[in-house]
This record gives sequence, C-alpha cells and structure tokens, in this order.
Amino acid sequence: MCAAEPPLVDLTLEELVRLDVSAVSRKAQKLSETPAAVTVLSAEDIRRSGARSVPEALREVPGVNVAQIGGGRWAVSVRGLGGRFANKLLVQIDGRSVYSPLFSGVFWEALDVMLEDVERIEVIRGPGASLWGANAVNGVINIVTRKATATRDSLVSASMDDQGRAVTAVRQGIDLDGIGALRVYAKGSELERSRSVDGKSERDRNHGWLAGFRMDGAGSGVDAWMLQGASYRRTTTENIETPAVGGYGGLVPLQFEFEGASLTGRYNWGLADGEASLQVYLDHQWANVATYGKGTVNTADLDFQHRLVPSGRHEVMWGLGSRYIQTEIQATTEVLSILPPRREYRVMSAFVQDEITLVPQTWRLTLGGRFDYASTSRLEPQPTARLMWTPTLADSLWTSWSRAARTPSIGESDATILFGLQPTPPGSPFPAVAVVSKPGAGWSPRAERLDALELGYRRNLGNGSFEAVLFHHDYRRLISETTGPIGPGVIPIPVAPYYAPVQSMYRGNLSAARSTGLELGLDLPVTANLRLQASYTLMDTAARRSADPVRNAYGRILEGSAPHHWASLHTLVNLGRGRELDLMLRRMGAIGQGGVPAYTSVDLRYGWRVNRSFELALVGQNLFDPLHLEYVSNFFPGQPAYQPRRAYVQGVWRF
Amino acid sequence: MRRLYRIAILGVLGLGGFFAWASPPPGEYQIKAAYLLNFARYVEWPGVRLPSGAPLRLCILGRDPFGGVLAGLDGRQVSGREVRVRQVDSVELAAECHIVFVSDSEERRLGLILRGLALRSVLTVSDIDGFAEAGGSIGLVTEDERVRFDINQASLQRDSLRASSRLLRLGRNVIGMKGP
Repeated sequence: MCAAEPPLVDLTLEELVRLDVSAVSRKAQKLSETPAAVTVLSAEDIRRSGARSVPEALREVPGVNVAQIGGGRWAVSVRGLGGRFANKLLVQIDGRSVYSPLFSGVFWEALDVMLEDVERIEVIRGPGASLWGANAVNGVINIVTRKATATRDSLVSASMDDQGRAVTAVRQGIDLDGIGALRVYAKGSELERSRSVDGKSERDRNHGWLAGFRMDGAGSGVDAWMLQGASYRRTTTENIETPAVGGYGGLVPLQFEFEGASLTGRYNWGLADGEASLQVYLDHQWANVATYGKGTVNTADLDFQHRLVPSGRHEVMWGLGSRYIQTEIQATTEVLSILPPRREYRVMSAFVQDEITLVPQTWRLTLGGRFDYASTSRLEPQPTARLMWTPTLADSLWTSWSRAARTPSIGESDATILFGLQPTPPGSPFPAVAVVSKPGAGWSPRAERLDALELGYRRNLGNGSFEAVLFHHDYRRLISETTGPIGPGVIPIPVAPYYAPVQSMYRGNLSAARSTGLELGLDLPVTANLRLQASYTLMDTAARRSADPVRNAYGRILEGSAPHHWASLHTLVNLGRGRELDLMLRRMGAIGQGGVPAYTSVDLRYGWRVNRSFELALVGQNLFDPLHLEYVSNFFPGQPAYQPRRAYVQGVWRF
Repeated sequence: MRRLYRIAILGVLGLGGFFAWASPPPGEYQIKAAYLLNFARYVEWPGVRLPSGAPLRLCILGRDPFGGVLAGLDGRQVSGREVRVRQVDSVELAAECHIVFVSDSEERRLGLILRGLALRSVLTVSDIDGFAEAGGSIGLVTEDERVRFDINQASLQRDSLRASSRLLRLGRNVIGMKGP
C-alpha cells in the first residue's frame, strides 16, 4: 500500500524533537473498538470549536441536540425527548454524576468546568445503562479532565465578549516530589445576556465562580490514585412569563442560586492478575429558587470495578456500587410544594460484562447486564447484547439490543406544581382555572423503560473517521399527566371573584413513544492543512395516542421536543505560522414545541499562537443573523430568549 | 420521511467510495513511527532477551493507528538488526516483542497491559495521555505542534532496559530520576 517510503523515518532524534506537526488534530480513537455509538471530543476539538461551555462543545456531535435557552441556560438532549432537563441523559465529570435526582436532569446553568484542563469529552449515544447505570437511557456524557501530572505548568485564561463581560480562569500546577502532582484552579465568569424578541437586552443574568484541585500519583508503579475536589456558586436570573388574566400577569424575574462542593477519590490496583478500581465521591448541592423553595441534596457514592485477566475467549468485567442520597426540600407554596420534605434513597447496583471473541479479530460478542435495586422502586434489570464484525482493520459493523431504565425523580414522585392559570371561555363563573400537577392517587412510581435497537458502521480514516448509526428506541411507562378531578382547593387571583378553582392533573407511568433515526459523523483530513468535520442527524418521534387530552398534549410535547433533522459542518484550516481559521456552519430544523423556527448559524474563529506561551483567539458567533430563537423553555414558562450576534476575544498564557 | 432515509443511505454508500481514494495526509503518525525506530536505536536490551544479530520485534498492541506507515518499515535494518513489525491482540503475544506500541484503543485496559508486560524487558511506548506517569516506558506527547516524549526511568530500570544518555537528554520529562 505504501510504495514510497516516507523520508521521515531516517530523521535523528534531535531532528524529530524539533519537527513541526502539521494538522495536529488527533481525533481520539480510544473508543473505536467499542460496539456503540461513541464520539470523543479531544481537547483540540474543544479548543477549535471556540466553545466556552460544555454544551457549546457538544454542538457538532451527531445525535446531540443543543439549544440555548438563555444566558448559560441550555437544553441538551441526545436522540430527542429532551428539553431543559433532558431526563434521559447521564452526565458525569471524572466519574461523578452531575445528574440531579431533584428534577431528573442537569442544571447546565450551574455546571461550570475549566475547559482548558478537559482532556476529552466522551459522548455515548443510546443506552449505556449496562455499564453506566440508571438514567443512562438516551446517552452518557463523560467529561474527563487531565491528570495533574499532565498539567505541571501555570495557566491564565481571560476572555471578554462584545457586551464587556469577562471570563477569567487561573490554574497552577505543583510538583509533589516523589508523590505526584497537584493543580489548583479558580474561575470566575459572567455570561452574556440574551435578547427579547424586540432585540432589547434581557434580564437573564448568570454569574458565579468555581474553584478546585486535582492530585494524581505518579511513579513506575502500576497502582494509580487520584483525589479531586471542587466548589462553586452561581446566581442566575430569568424572566417568567405569566399569562394575563384580567389585566394581571406579565414578566416576573426569578432568581436561582446554586452552591455545591464535591470530593472524589479513586484508586486503581492489580487484583488477581486483573485490574481493579475503587472510587468514592461525596457531593453536596444547595439550590434556592427565589421565595418559592430551597433544597439540599447530599450524595455519597461508592463504586468498585474489576476487570479480570482475559481467559480463553472471554474478557470479563464486573462491579458493585452503592449510592446514598439524602434530600431536604423546603417548598410549601402554592407554586411548588414537595412532600415529604426529607427523603433518603439507597441504591445498590451490580453489573457484569463479558466480551467474547467468537472469531479472533473478526467477530466479537458483548453480553452484559446491570441490576439496580433502589429503595424507592423495584429491581430494574438492564441487559445488553452487542455484536461486532470487523472484516478489515479499517471497517467495523455492529448491532445491539439494550434495555435501560430511568428512575422517577423527587419532583415527579413528590411535587405539587402550579403550571399556571388557564383562562376560561367567556361566560364561565370563574375567569380562569389553576392547572396543578400532582402525583396520581395511589400511584407507586416505576422507572421508565427503553428498549433500543442499533446498527452502526464505522470506518477508520487513519487520522479521521466516518460513522453511521441507525437507531430505533421504544419507550414504555413514560411518566406523564392525565386529567384529574376539579379540586381540592382554590388558588387566589387578583381579580373577582379573587380565587380560581384547581384543575388537577395526575402523574403516572402513562405514556409510550417510539423514535427512529439516523446519525452520521465524519472527520476527514483533506490535506495537511485542511480538515472537515461534519455531522447530520435525522429523527422522528411518535407518541402513543390516547383519549385523554392531557396525555395527548404530553405526547405532542415529546414529538416536538427536538428538530426532525440538524446538521453541522466545521472547516478547520491551518494558515501556517501558528495561525488557524475555523468556519462553523449549523443548520437546525424547526422545533414543534414552542414553535421555534428553523435557523442557520455561522461561527468564525481565528486563532493565533503568538509564541510558545501565548495564544490568542477571536470568535464571532451567529454572524449572519441578528437574532434567532433556539428553544422555548418547557419546564418554566420562561420568556423566549433570542440569541444575538456575538463576539469574544480570548487570551491564554501558559508558563 | 422514508424517502429521506433512502437518500441518506445512498449518501452513506457514496461517501464510502469517496474514502477509498481520500488518503490521510502525512503527519503525526509518521513522526511517531520515526520515533519508534530511534527508540530501537537508543535503548539496550539484556543480551538474553535480544542476542546480537537477532531480529528486533516491534509490535502494535490494539488497533493500528499508523495507517500502514509502520508496516512499511518491516524488514528495515536498525543498528545491524532487522526490524520485524507485527500487530498483536493479546498481552501474552505482546510480551514476546521488544518494543510494544500500545494503541489508544487499549486505554481502558492499560493497567492490565502494563502489569502483564512488567519485568519482561519490553519497551512500552504509547501516545495515551499520561502513559509514562502511569508506568509505561516512553510516552509520546504532542505539545506546541511538536511530538515530544516522556521517559519513565524507574520503569526502564525495573525492566532491565538501558536508555542512552542521548535519549534521556532529549526527553521532555524524565520520571524517576533524582536531581536536576
């Protein structure tokens, strides 16, 4: 195949050390052997995307739908059924789950990471439950930060946007002689505001700080350890739109405060010729929603994994886990009340996976299963079977069947939520009824269930890759609402007769849906200085119809929660002498829910590596469109936040 | 919808044909292949492990990221030895090699591999992040658009391998060495 021998191999060590690599864009191929739909974003991919937050970095991953709701507020979902709290997506930072058991989702507005020290982001689409546990239904996002032994220098990063808001981060690496290395970091940020439909600046603020450390052991030993901790605080404000009833209503600013701290430790060692790891983390979260409520969630998690030494055709891995969650919520208003205020959960889990080589280098079968036993719901077996065929070194074809479960959140099982006032037709005795969602009488919540079929093809293009995945997801026991009785109780309103009757909506495991789709991803090195990365997703969701209008409305929300198709094209050009140009094009289809029209956005990034220690980037986002809407919040009736043209400049010093 | 799928699938097939002629540009992995030959030159194996004149076995453990570049070096002479390149899938087979390049497809079983190859006089090389710190012999690191390398001197000594002073001098970090 390689007729002409590359002259590079005759170079001496001294010459090699000095040699410039053109088009360094090593797409991490680490998971290319996995029979699953996996995309790995390397640190280089993240840097070239111009992203300043995790959701922005995910915009080019096939199957992932990212929409900005406001300043720092995002709707991120994988394979649809998403929304602001996409409850079927598990997100982890260095093995610690940031999925909130309160509302089954991720508070993206409170999640901040130091992107400069992220080594990679792994995006696993489709059920990852057999390995990652409950709630890894539609996907798993693993944010992996660099080892402290790889960040021994100092770093200062500062950026400022066109509204004059700044993001500043500092990191200091410290050598612990003979022990390993430590890094400490701190980051402060204020995020850009959105616009209202008339182009005026909104009041959606988001500001806060993050500080933490990571320590890794080093040496020749094969045992490894890691200890890290982080603490944060963020304050966000968004506008809630209340429907006008009798001239009353309008925009109400709602302030959220988030605080949290976590500590994670991991130890890897050799056990019975295999490899074992033990991970422990403690996590504390506190949130306050204006005057409506506040809550704390404390989590302690213990996870053990053991990869046995391969024997014959089998490579077995097993593990045990235990999680304890304690929640305390003070919310007793008519808008939101959660009873009982205190809850304790215990989850015990076990998993086993066997990778069986059927024909060496050609056929491989993976069988696995995970069993979660939660004190609040039943035993949920989550099995998977995956078959992979690798006819050549470059091509692989795989297919899988898996089942995954999503455990009900505290919000779903315990909350009574006032959705809003529904104006009644003229002539009614009351101007409005208050729509209140509550757990159905006698409902014992069960986990939502997904059965998924997938077929995937992957081609390794040396320095790049191509991937195509077809999926069919079948969801059952989805938690939704159905029409309940009128009453009990009334809600005070400021117009005569000064109260509105309550229309109850009962929650239960009532709905079902199916979605089918195709995901395409391409990373193509064209020449040494030009690279193309493209993605395309096509999908369709259909919910089961019902005679009940409320349940049907829920079905329509599911169907309209993501566009039918979306695409991205990223052109990476190296201009030489450390100068880079990135052109990012995105096309998003219309979103049914909230009536969000389709849009196209163009982002441009110019990067200049001035010298070995200083790097400059100039980024323009949404260049040819003064204003567009990406999503309408489905959880709170937030004011639609329009995204304007933006620009920022960033400098990164390493010394 | 169905028509869209058909078009999409046709598109996939068309792309497949396109890849057949689109060859990756030269770059990182050619440099890494050149490094491997240089490591063969500047590392000394115990005589019983590699008798003089015996061929030096250079193996890739896991998926080959070199795109044929390394396989093209099969049969080359380095310091009076023939280099034999092969791809292996198991740690047992890798233990018979002199240099093992651990492909990043193997990252999740890295601990298992390093334990399996320890004390076998195998020079392990990889571009997996933090490889040398994790106990591998030499880690290739891409930094400032250059490929550099970290040496774990403690691992080399444990495996009875000797790195020349030239190699140690050019390494970015030398782990397990006292003093400056």
